[in-house]
Amino acid sequence: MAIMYALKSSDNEIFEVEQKVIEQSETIKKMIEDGAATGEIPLQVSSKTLAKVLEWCKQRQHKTVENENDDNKGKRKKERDEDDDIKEWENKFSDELKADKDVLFDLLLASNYLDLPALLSFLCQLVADMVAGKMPEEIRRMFNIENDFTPEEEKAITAEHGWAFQP
Amino acid sequence: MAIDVPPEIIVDIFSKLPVKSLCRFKCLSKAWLLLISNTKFAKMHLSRTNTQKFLNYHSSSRSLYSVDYETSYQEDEVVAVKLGFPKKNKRRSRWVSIYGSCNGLILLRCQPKPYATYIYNPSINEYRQIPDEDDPGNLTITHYNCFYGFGYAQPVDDYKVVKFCTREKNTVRVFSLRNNSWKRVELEYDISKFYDTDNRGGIFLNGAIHWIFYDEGESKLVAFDLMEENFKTLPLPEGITSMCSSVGILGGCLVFIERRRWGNYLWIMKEYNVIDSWEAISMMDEDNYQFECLQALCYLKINSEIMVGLENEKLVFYNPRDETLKELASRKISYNFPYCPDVYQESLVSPNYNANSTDEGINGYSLFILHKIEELKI
Repeated sequence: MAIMYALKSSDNEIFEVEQKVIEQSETIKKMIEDGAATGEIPLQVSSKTLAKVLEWCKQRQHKTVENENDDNKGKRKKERDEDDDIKEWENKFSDELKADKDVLFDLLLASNYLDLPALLSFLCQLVADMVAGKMPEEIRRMFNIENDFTPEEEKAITAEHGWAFQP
Repeated sequence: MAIDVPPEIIVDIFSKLPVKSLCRFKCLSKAWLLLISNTKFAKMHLSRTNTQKFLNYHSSSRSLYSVDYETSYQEDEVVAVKLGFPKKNKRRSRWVSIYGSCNGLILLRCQPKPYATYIYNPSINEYRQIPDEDDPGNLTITHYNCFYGFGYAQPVDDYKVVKFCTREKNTVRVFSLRNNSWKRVELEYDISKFYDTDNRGGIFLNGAIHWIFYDEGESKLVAFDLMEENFKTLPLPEGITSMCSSVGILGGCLVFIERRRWGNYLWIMKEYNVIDSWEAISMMDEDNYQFECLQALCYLKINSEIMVGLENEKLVFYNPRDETLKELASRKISYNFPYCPDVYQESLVSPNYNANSTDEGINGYSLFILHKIEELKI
């Protein structure tokens, strides 16, 4: 029997999850090891975002289990097919997040808080691809960055990197 | 939409951005300007991105071009961008030779006299002139008997230019970017008979710079180790007698192309310095390609095709699975590529390496961000 844990979202929704799935989060793993995880585990993550976190963790868990059960025969072909499946799943996951940027950024913060390096890295790449073509003003707004250059300084530095502003 | 993303996550996101975006984002604020210009961030970015382009010198416009070969291949047309170096000089035309690249930095030499050597990063458009070594005989050096290479000595965090001439049979000259100076290294290794038809720069891999030379009628794969500052000989496949291309790098392995009467063989050293690991891929040659420049340059990410060289001013891609060659010409603009290109990785690494390696003058928020980078254990 798999050991189950109950995770409680910030808006008080309960998620029943297998230990193996949720242990991918270093934060929760530590809580379990320290014995702090009795009963419900309260998390500062909304139910909408937590559902996405668990979707990711289950997919990753699925992948690890299958690899463990593999024998070496025909592994290459199988691996290739699996890679295609994962790619497809990841593309769908990305598309959903791109359509709802609030969830994307919430998930970014959650993956940091729950210490899920693979998810964090995946999301950082996703955000990087989204912002690569943007102008500084849009980035400042997006990340709450204060422009502390004087107008003269900004003009000079923009001129120095003028080529980077061309399409 | 604006939320407070912790700076370490923004650093994480930025470390995956293209160099051009980052140069634009230098204008965000003082803290981000310092971060993006920081040596440690450049290293972090280098380890997390892998965008390769190739650099080519176009003789009739006397300009360097950067070619995005992945996009070129997909769009079926050469996508080339003219670079800001060398600057136009009306009084004197200069020719530029490309002698190797490492971590986005490229070793260039302008000719004819007076010769000038540069380290150039095309991605950030920064260059630095390397002073000429104190060598009164320098001016007599001709094209065929002098060799260059460029690479990174990781244990000492230094970039080095290597130069040697066959008339100085036991001497290699090494320039350190960190010290901004040349030194002479005397060797027991005899280089006086080294000969190379292509005269391309050496290829940097595994802390050493590699060349294939003819040494008294025999092809020889040699490596100059940048830490030991000495040559060693690496094994070539047995039975190689005919013409070899200069050495290249493909998917992290040393490669060269052996020209035979009825076609070419692409040899790949799958495991570094292991003779039994050499594998050959036959390259069918029904069209009897002559190849003005024959060199395995890169794998395409999209389908593992190999860009192999230049033929009649066209780029040639080879598909090892169905053994086909594909030519890529430029339709819109009449670029031609008469000189051998070199592949480089886009990076933020500054050629003015010794100048910006301290954290001096960084404070407050910027210092906080830099500490966050330290914690990331690059």
